[in-house]
Amino acid sequence: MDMKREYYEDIELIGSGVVLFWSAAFLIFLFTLPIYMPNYYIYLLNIIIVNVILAVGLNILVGYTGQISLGHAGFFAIGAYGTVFLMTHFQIPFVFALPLAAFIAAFFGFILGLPALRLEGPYLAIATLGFGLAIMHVIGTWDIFGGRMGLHAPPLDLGIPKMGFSWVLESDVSMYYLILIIAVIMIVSAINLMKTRVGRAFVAIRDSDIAAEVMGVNLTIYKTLAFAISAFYAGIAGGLFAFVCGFFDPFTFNMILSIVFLVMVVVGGLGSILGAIMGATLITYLQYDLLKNVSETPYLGDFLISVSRKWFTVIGLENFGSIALGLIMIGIIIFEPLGMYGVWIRIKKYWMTWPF
Amino acid sequence: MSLFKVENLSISFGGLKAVDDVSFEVERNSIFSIIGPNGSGKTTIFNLISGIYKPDSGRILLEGENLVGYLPDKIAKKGIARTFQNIELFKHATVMDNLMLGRHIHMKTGVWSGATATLFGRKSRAAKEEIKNREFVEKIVDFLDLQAVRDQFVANLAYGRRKLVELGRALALEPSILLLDEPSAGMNTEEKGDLNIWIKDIQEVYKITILLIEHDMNMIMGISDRILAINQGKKIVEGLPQDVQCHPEVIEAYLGEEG
Ligand SMILES: Nc1ncnc2c1ncn2[C@@H]1O[C@H](COP(=O)(O)OP(=O)(O)OP(=O)(O)O)[C@@H](O)[C@H]1O
Ligand SMILES: [Mg+2]
Repeated sequence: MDMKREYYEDIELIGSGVVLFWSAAFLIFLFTLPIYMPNYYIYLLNIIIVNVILAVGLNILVGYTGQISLGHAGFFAIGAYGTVFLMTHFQIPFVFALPLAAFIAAFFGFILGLPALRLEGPYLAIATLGFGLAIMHVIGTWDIFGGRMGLHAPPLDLGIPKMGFSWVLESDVSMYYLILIIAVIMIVSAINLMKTRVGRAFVAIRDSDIAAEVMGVNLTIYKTLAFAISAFYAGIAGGLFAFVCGFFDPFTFNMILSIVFLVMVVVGGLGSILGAIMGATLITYLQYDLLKNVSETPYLGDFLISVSRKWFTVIGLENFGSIALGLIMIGIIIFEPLGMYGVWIRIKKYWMTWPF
Repeated sequence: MSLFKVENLSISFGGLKAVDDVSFEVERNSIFSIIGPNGSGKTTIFNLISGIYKPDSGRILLEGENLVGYLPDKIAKKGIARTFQNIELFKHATVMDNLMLGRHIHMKTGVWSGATATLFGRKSRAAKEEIKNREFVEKIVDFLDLQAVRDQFVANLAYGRRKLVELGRALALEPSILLLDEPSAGMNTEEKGDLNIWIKDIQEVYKITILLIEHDMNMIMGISDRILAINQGKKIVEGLPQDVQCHPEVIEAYLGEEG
């Protein structure tokens, strides 16, 4: 076999025909999805994909580089507020405002990465937590950001209105295609990045920062870089989220959201891009839809709601949502540290050796 | 002029003088060994050279350039690579990825060219660089006989194999000086024999200068050009193997340890 070809295969995005087939099939499925899905679900899907983008980015930091962040709602907020603010105050078109806001988020990521050089584990967790809270409060006190009243997203115009060229996305479905395309680009980029030099440096830092350093990896550069990239992803996700929701206020980006993001990555599987995608999908679905379905189930729904009223707080089924999330976390950590990705690997193995 | 020189190197931890006024010189393309009982400061000398610790005083000179104060990654870029006594591999990565990380300083692919590699496929800068460096690493895989475990995760490898992967990773950096901290520890006789040959090859074929810490006296005596013996952080003697072996203080230090 031609030697060069063999080495290229090591880093090729799609290694085999089987993977190519299933990736293509899945993409076709996703692109035709709006045809057979009710509109409510398209809205849900949009939120899911936004969270997928964020989780893939967060996983680069947590899963690949081994740093923790409890402040990603902050970057998410910078993306959302930044995009809308740049559009409404400076008349910058969406296509530029979104990446610009993401770069602002990345800059804040870089800044937050600096203390990460000295802090580890619980200390880093507290520092990032503080960052998330600070962003939320700072935004909440500034009137140009709508203060506590929040902000409305302007129409989502993909054109450049000033030059008389407008292309407004009005429906959830058209927004779905936009978000999906961006997500595919972001995911493919992440896969590439993790397979090449920068990704290897991240993994090296995670597994042994001392060996990474001795082999020539500059910890200052690569740790802050991991924060910046991860924040960039969160910024893009936030900018898109602003338009999916249409309205948001500082409390949208609270501390719990940061924790939920982290849960997505851990449940999906640390250090696996496929895992981040699965984790974000599952957790978002649980949060947005499962509870609603359960509450509408005859008998069971009413029963759980009355239990919740009696024993927990009045917010109703969300109490069970939190409990379920907690149980899933504990279960994953005890039974499958690799998360959903680990489960997926097992199923694949099972089917490959089936029926033996 | 000798390639590498350490002058009056000292460091203490709390009250303990781990390395105490140690000086030595290493000739280009030689094997220079450091021996001494447990806790005598051998690993600490390596940690000082590779920039993990900063000495309290003294100089570390590579071709006349003082390396003291440089961070470990800068020292790696100067061409000094090492292995660790307690193996520091990237456990959850494959053997190939571990070795490829050794090429880090010789590669340029950054965030943008890495992330967009697919877009330009085989012709992309990232892919070209990747292929070129994989070819280099493949030579090391062949040299250390790692072909069979090439794509395995390091966490699944036996101890002796891990030591070799670590050696391979250090070689991938194309160092001019290689620091080996007890490379044969935990290996069986057969593995030790192979290692002996490989170290000799690294010196002769790859023309790399080697600093070696070892407890296995047979290996040390057979392989070293010069030996430095230390005890409690202080230099006892430095010289040719036969001279060091017969030195009364060396015998005492070792007998004292065993007796
Ligand atoms: N970071 C540190 N903090 C405190 N003491 C240290 C540190 N590193 C080394 N020491 C001490 O310095 C002394 C020398 O340790 P070192 O690891 O260099 O010994 P060694 O010669 O490599 O021993 P061995 O043969 O057991 O590997 C020991 O007493 C050790 O406890
Ligand atoms: Mg030691």
